[in-house]
Parts: sequence; structure tokens; C-alpha cells
Amino acid sequence: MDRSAALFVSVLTLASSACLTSAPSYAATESLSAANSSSAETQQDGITEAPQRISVKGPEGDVPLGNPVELTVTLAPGELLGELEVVQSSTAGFSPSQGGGPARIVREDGLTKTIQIVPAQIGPLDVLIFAVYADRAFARQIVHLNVVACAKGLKRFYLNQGFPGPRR
Amino acid sequence: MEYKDLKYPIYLNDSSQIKLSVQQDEANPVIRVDKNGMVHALRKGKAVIVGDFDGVIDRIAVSVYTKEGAPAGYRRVHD
Repeated sequence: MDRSAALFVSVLTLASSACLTSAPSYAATESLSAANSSSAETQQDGITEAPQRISVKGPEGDVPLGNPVELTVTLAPGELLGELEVVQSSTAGFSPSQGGGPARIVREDGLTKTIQIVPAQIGPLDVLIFAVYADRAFARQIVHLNVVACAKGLKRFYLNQGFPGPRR
Repeated sequence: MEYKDLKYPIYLNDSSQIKLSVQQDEANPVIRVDKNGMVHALRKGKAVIVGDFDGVIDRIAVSVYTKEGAPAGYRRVHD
């Protein structure tokens, strides 16, 4: 494994732990992260947490399932390793198996990028946006969204047998 | 459900945003659907569950059998 690949694996580990351990607040859509509560850079496993290098603005209110939502991401200057990445994580239990990966950038104005995500699960949804800098700094933000039912763009809706209930 | 902007189908974590109703004899119901979407059999018979997702409708037919009258594939071998 080369150095950048090893760094990326470490960063993904940090990213996923951030999704699981952040304390969500769903009273309103907000754009903050646990890491953002401190502006100081901290080190872990050779990677510097640099929350002040990224800020994200999300939409106010509920967002529709399966429909594009725009987030505004502002990055600090510096060379990035790879791309701006997105991970969706449902705190209700199941995480969507889609809707993550390299961010889809729809507009760019210098260091400010407008990205588009498509919420892939209903209810409270954490969207982690992160970037890795060439100096091994890891910048991340979590946006909390509340995803609601929406027929727009719906190609097919069907009732099925559902998930099995708890075994007794 | 399937959306044009998503590559794969979505299976919802919970059914709380689907309005579920049942078409059956209300005086003598065959099933009851609880708030979690779990179907409870009340007596032998047939019913139709209607799901409304933001105005888009789907229906599924439900048949409730007695333990003795269930088709072979539905019978328990051991209790």
C-alpha cells in the first residue's frame, strides 16, 4: 500500500467514527460538527484534524428524499489529496449504500464549491463532507438533514414484505 | 422505491412516512397494521393494505389462514 492509500484508509476510519460518535441535533437543519467546536488543529495517527479548513452551509428545514440538495462548501487554501468526498449516514440504523463518494460539484467560485447530494434514506441523515490536504490535514464537516417523503422524481413505489421482525 | 436521481432502489428504514390503511370489513377486521407497519392477523380472511407515499399509492393483498388451513409452504413443521 503506498503512502497516499494508507493515509486515505486512516482518513476513512476517522470519517466513519465521526459519523457514529457525533451527537446529532435534529431540532433544525444545521451545519456544524463536533470537530468544529474547537478551531485548534489536533493530531491522531499522524493525521491532523483541521476543522477550520472547511465550512459547509446546508439548507434550512426538511429536504426531500431522492432529490438533489445543494450544499455550499468553503475550503481553506492548500493542495488537496484526491477529491472532496461525501458520506451519508443514517442515524436511524441503516446507512444508505449509495449517495456517497466523490462530491458532485455543480458550481465553483474559487475556494467555494457548491456540491449536490441526493438523500438516500428517510428521516435523520448525517452528511459528512471531508477533504484531505497534502500536508496530511483532514478537514471535515457534518451536516444534519431531516429527509422527508417526496413523490417528485419517484419512478416506482412498492410495498413489499419489509424487513423481518426481531426473532424471539 | 426508485428515484430517477438514485442509481439503486431505496428500502426505507421505517414506514412512518408511509400512510398505511387497510381495505377490509371494518366491523369484522382481518388484520391490524400497527404504527411500525407490522401486520397482525386477527382472523381468517382477506384484506388489502394500501400505502400512500406522498400521494403515490401501492396495494398488497393479504390472506390470513387458520393454522390448519394454511397452504403447505406456510405451515410450521414444529411449534
